[in-house]
Formats: sequence, structure tokens, C-alpha cells
Amino acid sequence: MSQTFAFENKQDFLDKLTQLVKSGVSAKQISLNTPYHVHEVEHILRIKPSAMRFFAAIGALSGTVAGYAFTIFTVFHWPIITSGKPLISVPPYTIIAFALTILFGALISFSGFLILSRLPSMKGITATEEHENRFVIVIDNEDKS
Amino acid sequence: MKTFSLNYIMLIAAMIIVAAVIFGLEQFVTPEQHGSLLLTLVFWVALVQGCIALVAAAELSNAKWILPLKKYLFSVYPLMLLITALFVIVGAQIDMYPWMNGHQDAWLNQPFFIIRSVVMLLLSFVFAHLFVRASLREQKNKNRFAALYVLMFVITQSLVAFDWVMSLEHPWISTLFGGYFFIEATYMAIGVSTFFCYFLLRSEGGKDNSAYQKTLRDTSTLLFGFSLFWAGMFFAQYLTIWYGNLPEEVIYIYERVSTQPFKSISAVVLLCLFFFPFTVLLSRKVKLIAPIMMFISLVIMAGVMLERYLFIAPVTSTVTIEFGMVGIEFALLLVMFVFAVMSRERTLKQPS
Amino acid sequence: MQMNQTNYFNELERDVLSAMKKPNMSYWAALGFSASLLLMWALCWGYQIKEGLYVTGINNPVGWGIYLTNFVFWVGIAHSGTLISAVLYLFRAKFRNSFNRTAEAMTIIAIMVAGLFPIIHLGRMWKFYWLLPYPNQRLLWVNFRSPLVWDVFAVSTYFIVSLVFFYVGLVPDLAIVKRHVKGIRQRVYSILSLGWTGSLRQWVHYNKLYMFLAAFATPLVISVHSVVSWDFAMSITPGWHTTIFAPYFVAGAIFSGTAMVLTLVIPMRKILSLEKYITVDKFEGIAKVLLFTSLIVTYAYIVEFGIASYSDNIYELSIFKYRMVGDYRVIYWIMICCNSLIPMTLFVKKLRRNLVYLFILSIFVNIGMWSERFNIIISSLSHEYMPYAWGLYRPSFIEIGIFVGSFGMFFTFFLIFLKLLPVLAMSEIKEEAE
Repeated sequence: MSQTFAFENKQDFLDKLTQLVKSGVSAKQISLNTPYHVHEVEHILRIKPSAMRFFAAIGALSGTVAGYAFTIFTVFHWPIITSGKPLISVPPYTIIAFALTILFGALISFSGFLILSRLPSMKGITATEEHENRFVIVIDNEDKS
Repeated sequence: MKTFSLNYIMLIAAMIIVAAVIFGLEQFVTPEQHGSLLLTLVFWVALVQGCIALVAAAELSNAKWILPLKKYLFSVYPLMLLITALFVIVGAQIDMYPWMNGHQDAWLNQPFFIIRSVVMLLLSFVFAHLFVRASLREQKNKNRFAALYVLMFVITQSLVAFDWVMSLEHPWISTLFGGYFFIEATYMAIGVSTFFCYFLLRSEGGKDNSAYQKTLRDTSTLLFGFSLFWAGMFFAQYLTIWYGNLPEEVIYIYERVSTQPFKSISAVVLLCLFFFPFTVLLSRKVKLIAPIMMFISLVIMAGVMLERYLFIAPVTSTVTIEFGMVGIEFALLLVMFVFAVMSRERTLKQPS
Repeated sequence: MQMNQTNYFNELERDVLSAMKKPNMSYWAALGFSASLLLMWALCWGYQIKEGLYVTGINNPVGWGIYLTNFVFWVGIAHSGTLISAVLYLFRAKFRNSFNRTAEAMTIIAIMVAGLFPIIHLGRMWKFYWLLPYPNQRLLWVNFRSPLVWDVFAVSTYFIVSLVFFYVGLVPDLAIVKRHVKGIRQRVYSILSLGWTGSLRQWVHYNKLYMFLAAFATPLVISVHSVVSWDFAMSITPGWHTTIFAPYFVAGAIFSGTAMVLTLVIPMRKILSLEKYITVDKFEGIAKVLLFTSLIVTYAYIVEFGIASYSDNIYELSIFKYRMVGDYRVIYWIMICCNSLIPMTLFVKKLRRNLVYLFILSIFVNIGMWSERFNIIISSLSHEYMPYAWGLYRPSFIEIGIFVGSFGMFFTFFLIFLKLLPVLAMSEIKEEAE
């Protein structure tokens, strides 16, 4: 058994949401659909900060390490001095490490997003029901426990 | 509690006294020890000019976060007069520049060297004054003065970089030196802003200060961005010189990384200006804690001071710069800086 | 705030998506023209592959002709996309959402066009993969100290990250498109939208992801053109070996890219009747970016020349004099006029808000920035240290054909983009419309 409220205006939507939360509906029961991200919702429902930053940090760090490790490993694989530069030339390798930091950071953040927001979702792709451009609150009254 | 403050005339009087004291002190310095005043000046000229430039840049890009800090940052602009006066004293010690002994050309000669810097410093004072007035009165043409001030800032900081500092090592060149200096000046001004954020938050302790929290967060984020930007500027210069490996170019770096104490100082500078602020500011929470932000800013400013020492010291004196002298002069300017900020309500008062 | 936001949103979607309807004759004409230029590009390159590099004008000492000029030019064009999407996003500049989608698409297309030029420049282009770091038969790795390898890393990272950024920005909009189309297209768009429903969980993480991608892309955009500049600055060639090159190239890249955005968006706005969403105010914002970067570039011109005269380095000074009065002086003065003098007119507010003027100016800037790269590359190579080894360069017809054809490729892809994807970031405009 679920209840659906649809609004054509953000303020009405927020008012209703605040009222629902005050009347004791837990955040777990509420699911929302909005045409854009309504920042106030995070406050009202006390959403925990997104875990995205861990993915970003791990991605970036692994990129830096990979960049230095890769360049240094390969240069010792066949040690040959070119243009009078030392074998471990930190400044040029920093450029490679930097590029990989960004690359890994971006890609792992993106994968993190897919994991956290459960995308791609077959349910969403095949869904026929549409909320169009309304602000929608769905309350799931079923007791899941 | 009524806090200590000065009006404009008293501030100018105080500046005259400070200038006179420093002039007196400099008479006791032997030519081998010249450089302490130059070092003090290249630090403070960046900080004072940077403060106004930060507001000007923010106004030009319609940034709102700067508004609570505006008065604090503006209040230091009269110090540009003091800096101009002190630069004239440096002009008397011009013998420390190597090109004075060789041939002087159309650009590097004693009179032109002093005149162009003094003129630019005075012009940036004038435009700062016009900009401050227009901005506080919310005049329509404030953006025009903001743009003009930024122009003066860029030219003056480039002169500071190319003339005051780079020509110490004539004919060594780095075309990015000017840009590097005005980025550093802005970097320091953002650092100082975190102090002002702290005062704002404290003075409004009981009230709703979420606006100031926002300003602090934006200032901190900008400081983080600039730490990376600074690293980019540093790297662009270092890499080009390192890779080219031309004797006349690498000598500058070689002098500064091969002998003690410069070797250790170089490492400390990198730590202070990039590795430390960057790593700490990665954390989101730190950006909202004013005391930690102030500490980071202090580290950054110490880093800039040490870096400028590194630029100047290997050239100006055969031994080292007189530390006591730098200490006194630095302290005097610091006191004036604090006075100027404390007197902001009176010096910036605008007849409506 | 509007009383009924939903109606406004529906109207917005209708207006933006009507651009994706069946194309009219003028669209087909434009596409046909671009495609024929693209065909010319393919024929010229095919001829060059068959005959070898002698069909070009490159010679000794000028080994880098307009192929490399074009490479730098197109990489530069790519930069404004990231600037407008990422940097302005972080600075919360309101005018960005009128341009970011177009600019991002432009970035992707321009990197693809740019990436081909170093390959075109190769004598045996089929060996291009030698640049990639992989263990070959002799167990040799690439030389990571070579700026050309940095380029491979920087440009391919830039391409991948821009693509991810572009796609992530598109996801909510693709879900909108899905609602408005039927049949097989609906299937395709719903798969591309990954099943986006706009639920709270999706938005929370999405918002963070977008912020992180912007934070990653901002230093990246600065690093990519720095690396391109280091292709030159790492050498000891006079006029190339100078520390200001990295920031100067970055500013120049953003300058030219922003100009290209104007060149594309001003006609697009007119043809697709998007005047309501891309307002003149927003153009003024872009015009200010153009003016700002023009001033940085001008500063770099002055400093480069000033420092060359300040130092006692005769080689450095002679190359700058050569650029001004030597064989390529026309290109030099075109560069000064188009990049420094004409953009100064943007100090006048009226001109910043005059779209016809902005359009004409943007074309001048494109010409100026191409001339700048030509001027840097060719003049320095033709007058290096030893007078005995001086020489001149003139592009051949094949090179010019490939250069002009690259515009055909760019515009062909861009026109296809207009019909396949929404040209405005609708979800962001909805958010801003509050």
C-alpha cells in the first residue's frame, strides 16, 4: 500500500514533505522524484553525506601511485639514459602521474556513482509510469521488517 | 569595549613615524648587509596590494562571498604610501644590484628604475583609493575602477618581480616571474582573509552567523584552489628550466638547492606553499574551522616570506641578511597593518 | 518563483527538444557543405598517405608545419568546453548553463579533430601506436621524459574525462528526451539514460559526482594546454624556451575556445529559436571571459618581448624582431590586431551586448589565435641559432586542404550533435529558473 503526492511547485512539495516528516513518517519510507535536485530535501530528511568522496579520493590516490610506479618500473626495465636526464626524472614523471590521477579519479568516481545510485537500472529503463515534471512524494506504508 | 583605532590623518602620521624609524635604522647597516628592507618590502607590497586586488577581482566577477570581508581587505590600502616611502630608501641602496656595476642600459639604470616603481606604486595607491571609494558608495562605475586597479596591480607586481627581484640576478630571466608574483600576492590575500573571517565569526558569536560560515568556506576553498594553482605556476617555471638545462638558466636554481641553508629552505618553501596546505585542505571539515584555517594561512605566508628570502639572500649579502633588522622592520609593518585594519571604520568612513 | 513550475518546465522541454525535430533544407545544405569539406579532408589525407610527406611544404629546418599549428589550435578550441562546464560551475557563474552543453560537445569534437593531426603529421601514420606505452617485442617502453609522450597521456586523459563529464551532464536530459520520442528512438534514449528516474538517491550522488568531475576537470584543463606548450618550451629553440609558455597557452586556449563557442552559439540560438533561454545577459558573461583572456594573452606578448630585450640574449631578441618585421610579419600583425587590439573594444558595454558584433569578433579571434600558433611554430623554426640553417616554409595545397577539411569534420559532427542530443542543459535551467 503506498500513497503518492504530486506537486507542480517546489514550495508546496517542500511544505508537504516537512509536514510528513513532522508527523512521524520515517525517511526510509519516503521516496521522491524531482525534475532537478532540490537541495533543501537533504536537510529535511537528514540525508547522510554522499559516500562519493571516498571513491574520488581512492581513484585519485591510486592514479598518482600508478603514475609514478609505472614510469619508474618501466625505466628500470631497460635502464637507458636519454638526453642527459637522470633515470628517475621526477618532474616529467609528475606529469604522467598527474594525468593518471585525474583519469583514475574521474573514472572511479563515475563507477562509484553508478554503484551508489544503482544505475543502470532495468526497472528505470523499462518503466512506463512517468512523473513528467512534477515533484513527487511516494510513501511506502508497508512494514518491511 | 572600545577598540583602539586611528583616523586617516593619525594613520598617515604613524606611517611617517615608521618610515622615519626605518630610515634611521637603515643608516646603521653596512652595504654588505643591504637587502633586509628589500625583503620586508617585497613581502608586504604583495600582501597589501593583493588584499585590494582580491576584492577587485571578486567584484568584477560578481562574487558575493567577498562582501563581509570587503571592509577588512580595503582598510590596508593606505599602507601603499608607506611602502612607496620605504622603496625610496631601498633606492638609496641600489648598489646591491649587480647591473649597477656593469653597464646600465635604457631599462636598467638608477633613475628610471626608481622612478617607474615609485610612479606605479603611487598610481596603484590612487586607483585603490578611487576603487575603495566607488565600491563603498556602491557607485555604478566601481567596476571600471576595479579593472583599472587590477591593471595597476598586475603592472606593479610584475615590476616588483622583474625589477626588484629578478634583476638582482641579471641577466638571468624567467618570463613567468611577474605572473608568479601576482598569483602569490593573491594567494596571500586569500590567506589573510581567513583571519578576517575568524574575527567576523567571533564578533558575531551569538547571532546567526551562517553567512560568515559560508564566506569562510568559500575563502578556504579558494585557498585550496590557489595552492594547486601556485604549484602549477612553480612547476611550469621549474620544469622549463630543469628540462632546458641551459647553464645560464639553471644557475639560479642550482645556487639555491646546492648549498645550505638555502637547500633546506627550498624544501621548506615547497612544503609550506603546496604540500601542507593542499593535503590539509583536502578535508572538507577543516575548511569550516577558522583557527585551523588561520594556521594554514600563517604557514603559507611564512612560506612566501622564506621564498623571497631565497630569491634575495644569495645575492644581496655575502654572509646573510641581518636577521635582527628584518625582524624589526617586519614587525613595524605588521603593527601598521594591524593598526590599519583596526581603524577601518574611521578611515573608510564615506561622507554620504 | 513561478506558481506553476511544471508548466514552465514542459514549455522549456518543448522549446529545446523542437530543435531535434526533422531537419529542414538549410540544415541539410549546411550538413552537405560540411560533409563535402570532410570528404576533401579524407581525399587529401589519402593522397598524402599514398605519396608520402613530400606533398607537404614541411622541410628542413621547418619540420613542424601547419599540421602542428592545427593540432594546437584545435586542442585550444577544446578548452573552453571544460572551462565553461567545470571552472564556471565551481565559481557558480550563472551564465554558464546557456553554453555548457554546446561547449562540451565542442570539446569532444575538437579533441577528436586535434588528435588526428599529430597522426597526419607522421610519415608512416600506421605506426602511430608506437607512442602508446605497451611492452613491445624488444621489451622497450616509451620514453616518459619525452614531451610527445606527455601529450599522449594528457590529451587522451582529457578526451576520456571530457567524455565522462559530457555524458554525466546528459543523463537526466536523456531521460527527458526519452519521454518525448517514440518507438526505437525511445528505446535507445532510455538505455542511454541508464534508467534515470530523478529519485532522491540518484540526485544526491549525481550532484556530488558532478562536483567531483568539475574539480578534476579544472586542473586538467590547465594541465593539458600546459603540456602542449611544453612540446615547445622543453626545447632550447629561441622563442619557444620560455617559462611563461604554460599559462600563456592556457589563456590563449580558453580565449580561442570561448570565441568558437560564440561562433557556434550565436547562429544556433537564432536558427533553433532559443532566444528565451540564451539571453543577451549570458552572452555578456562570455564576452567578459573573452576580454579577460585577451588581456592575459596581451600581457604575455608584452612580457615575452620585454624580457627578450631586457636580457642580453641576442638569439631571443632577434627571433622576436624577426617575428615583427621578418618573412612572417603579416601573420604576426594579424595576430596582434585580432588577439589584442580588436578585443579591447569589449570594454564598451554596448558592444559586449551586440550579438552581431560578438559574432564577427569571434571570427577575428579564431583567425588571430590560429595566426598566433603559426607565428610561434614556424617563425622560431625557420630562424634558429645558425644563419646557415635558416629556411622558409610555405604550406602546400594538400596541407591547406587538410586544414580546411578539418573544419568540415568539426562542423559535420557538430551538426549531427544538434539533431541527436538536447543543446541546452535542461535540468540545470530548471534549477536556475526558481
